[in-house]
Amino acid sequence: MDNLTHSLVGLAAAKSGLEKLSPGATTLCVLAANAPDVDVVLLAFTDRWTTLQNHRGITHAIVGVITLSILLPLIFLGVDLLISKLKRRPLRVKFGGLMLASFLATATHPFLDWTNNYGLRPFLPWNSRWFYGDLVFIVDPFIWLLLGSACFLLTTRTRVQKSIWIVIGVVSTLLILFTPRGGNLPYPWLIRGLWIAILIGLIVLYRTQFASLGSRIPRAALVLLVIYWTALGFVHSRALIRAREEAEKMKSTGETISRVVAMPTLANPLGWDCVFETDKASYRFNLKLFNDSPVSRSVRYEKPTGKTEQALEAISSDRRTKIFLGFARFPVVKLADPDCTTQTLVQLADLRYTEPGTSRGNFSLELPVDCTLIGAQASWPAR
Amino acid sequence: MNDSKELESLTAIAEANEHEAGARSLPTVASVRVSPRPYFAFASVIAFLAALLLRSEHDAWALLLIGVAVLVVPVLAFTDRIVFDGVAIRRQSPFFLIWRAVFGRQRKLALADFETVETNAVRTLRRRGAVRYRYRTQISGKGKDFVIASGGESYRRLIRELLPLVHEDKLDTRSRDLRDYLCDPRFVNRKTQLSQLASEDVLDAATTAYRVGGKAAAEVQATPQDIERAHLLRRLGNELRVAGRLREAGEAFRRALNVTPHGAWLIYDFARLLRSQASAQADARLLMRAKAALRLASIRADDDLVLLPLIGESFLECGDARLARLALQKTVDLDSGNYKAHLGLADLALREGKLAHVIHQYREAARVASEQSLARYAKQEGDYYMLLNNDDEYLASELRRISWLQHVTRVRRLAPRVINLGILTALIGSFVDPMVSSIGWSFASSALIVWLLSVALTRLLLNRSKA
Repeated sequence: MDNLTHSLVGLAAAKSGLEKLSPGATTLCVLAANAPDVDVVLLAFTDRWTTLQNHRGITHAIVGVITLSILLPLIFLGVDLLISKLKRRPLRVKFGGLMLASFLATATHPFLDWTNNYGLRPFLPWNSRWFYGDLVFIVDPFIWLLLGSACFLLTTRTRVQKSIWIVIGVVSTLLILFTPRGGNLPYPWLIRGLWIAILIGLIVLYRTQFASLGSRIPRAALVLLVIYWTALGFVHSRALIRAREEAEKMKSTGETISRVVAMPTLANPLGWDCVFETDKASYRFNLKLFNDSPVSRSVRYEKPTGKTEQALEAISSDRRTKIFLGFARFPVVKLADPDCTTQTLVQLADLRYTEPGTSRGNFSLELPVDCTLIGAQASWPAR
Repeated sequence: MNDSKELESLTAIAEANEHEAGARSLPTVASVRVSPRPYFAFASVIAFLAALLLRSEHDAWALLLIGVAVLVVPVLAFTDRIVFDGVAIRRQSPFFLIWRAVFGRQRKLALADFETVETNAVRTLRRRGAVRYRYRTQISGKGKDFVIASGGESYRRLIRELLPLVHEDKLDTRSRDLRDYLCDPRFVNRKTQLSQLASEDVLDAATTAYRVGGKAAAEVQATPQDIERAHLLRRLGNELRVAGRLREAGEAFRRALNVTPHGAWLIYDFARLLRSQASAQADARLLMRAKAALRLASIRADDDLVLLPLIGESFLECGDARLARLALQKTVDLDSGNYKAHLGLADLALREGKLAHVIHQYREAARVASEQSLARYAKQEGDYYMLLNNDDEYLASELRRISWLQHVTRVRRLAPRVINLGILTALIGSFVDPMVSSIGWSFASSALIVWLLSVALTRLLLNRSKA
């Protein structure tokens, strides 16, 4: 999930009662809820492939989460010890309370990340298998609204807090109203209208002292979040059933389906991106639930054979290929020019996010290959 | 001006001589291998990391770590010794050799700098009337600690050579016992045979009712030979007690008590045996009897200024603060310069939370101490408690430190169990489902990290915070 969602979850957890465990627990909860994303620091020192290899890696695994949840309170304690020495005042933080708050807040991070289709590897370093929840899109404005509303009502007291909330409100509203991604939303005008109406409603509630309900507000928000996930879980199961039916219709004669997944789309619980794999090819199509119209934007990529397979073999020892294939859930490959004479590009992509030849960050890879090398027999590398 | 310069140069020469003497290694009088437990723990951590590296296909690194765990660490463990050269004890191992070469400092503590020598006994095995004791002697001084764990002839030799040279006031009661009564088991066996003590089988069937003191016994007139025999039996009883042969020790004391039922030292030693038995058998009645015997010993001790503080210490071990206070106070009343009695009274006052009394007793102990290290120790303790008494913030921080230390200790003890459980789950899981195995390994790894952190924290929290 995005870091705004993680922060809001941490803040809501703190306001639900964890803040009472120790002074500084609120800050700790927000930091702890984001702590596993400390792996992005790698981006500053290494290339994007190393980042891809390590993102949602050890820091999101059981080992990393437990370690981080211990380290953060220790850092807080150390800082407080230092301040207490300098200011000659007694120690304020309660270590036990901080530990508990840190553990709970840090644990929310891998859970939230698991709900996406990006996945995580909870058993690293012992087992590098990816696990995917496929429930919530990586950015979910509904969760922003739900938790953001609760946190806004309870934490808008000082000028600094008001300023922070104004910045968050303005940035998220701009994202939803004016960015191209916002334009891709289903029923964009309805969502934009709803968004503005809720923002106005929040300001009204803030003015009417609704915040006096205290910790009941974030608790209710967290309960609603669980209900939202449960509902998404139900819708996801329906989507999977529909996806299987569509896959049966879509596959070529003689193909056997090995796996089908339905992945969430931005702010649309009724729209799902589906990918399925057979022994001969990988397919992707868009599915709209409660709509009898045929599936849209279906694509098919054959498993590499012949020249494509040889080209893949030729680049299989490349570090980037290894990392990409370790990350990709539905790797597909094609040659830019199958009838090349000198050099061509081997185009790899993760069908979850993109297609070969379409450049999209780390989710696709293009590597040059000598056409003279495409001649030896090879096989699809085992995952 | 000239005088001060001369004094400075003389001091410098003296320091240089002292340094030179320190650097010269004297021949070893006795040495004992350091407990290998930390090395085993280190080897286990390395082996765990090697397994992790093997799994992530870093075979060369894994092999290197396995080599370290299997070859290097055992060599280090085997060669790490505490050496006594007649003047000081020091750590001697390849690691400390490198340490000395790099930092120019040696881990060494001179006999004169010993402040306390404390021994803990851990029962490792219990069989009928006998128990197997593992002794752990901690020598402290000048902020350094040396821990010697019992095992074999080398330990006995070190104790035999070292402890008699240590000032009486630095030893606790168990260390005294070891100094006086720790013998080669064969030697104890031989003495037991010569004394014609009944075998353990016979003693098991016999009733263990003792009669200590009493008017009837007082009427018996013992010959000098009998008294000598009672003295030998008392010594044998103590040797058997230290060796963990409690039933036979009881029989030796019973015979000795038949001859000299009024001997205060004998009754005191017998009380200590009863306490050992009470502890081994978790018997409250025996503990009551031990206390009764100690009380009798304190009555018989009259003005024995060596025995009275020992009785006070033993009362403290039995958890009877009131009688301990009586014995220790009596000692101080008879001889206000008794260091051990002041230390005991300070301990008692600390249990009762009377910090002003603690400070007073430590101050008195520092005043009457006959050695510089003893005075230094008592002064340090007194200063520490005075700071606690005067500075509420410092008191709060120390209480917090101790509370954290307790929590961390609990975690440190729990973590190895979780590691073992995790590894067990992982091993069983590998036959059932790789997922279960991964969960096991993940929890074992997490617990290992927690354990390492808790070990580091324990080290930090053990030291008193500076004001």
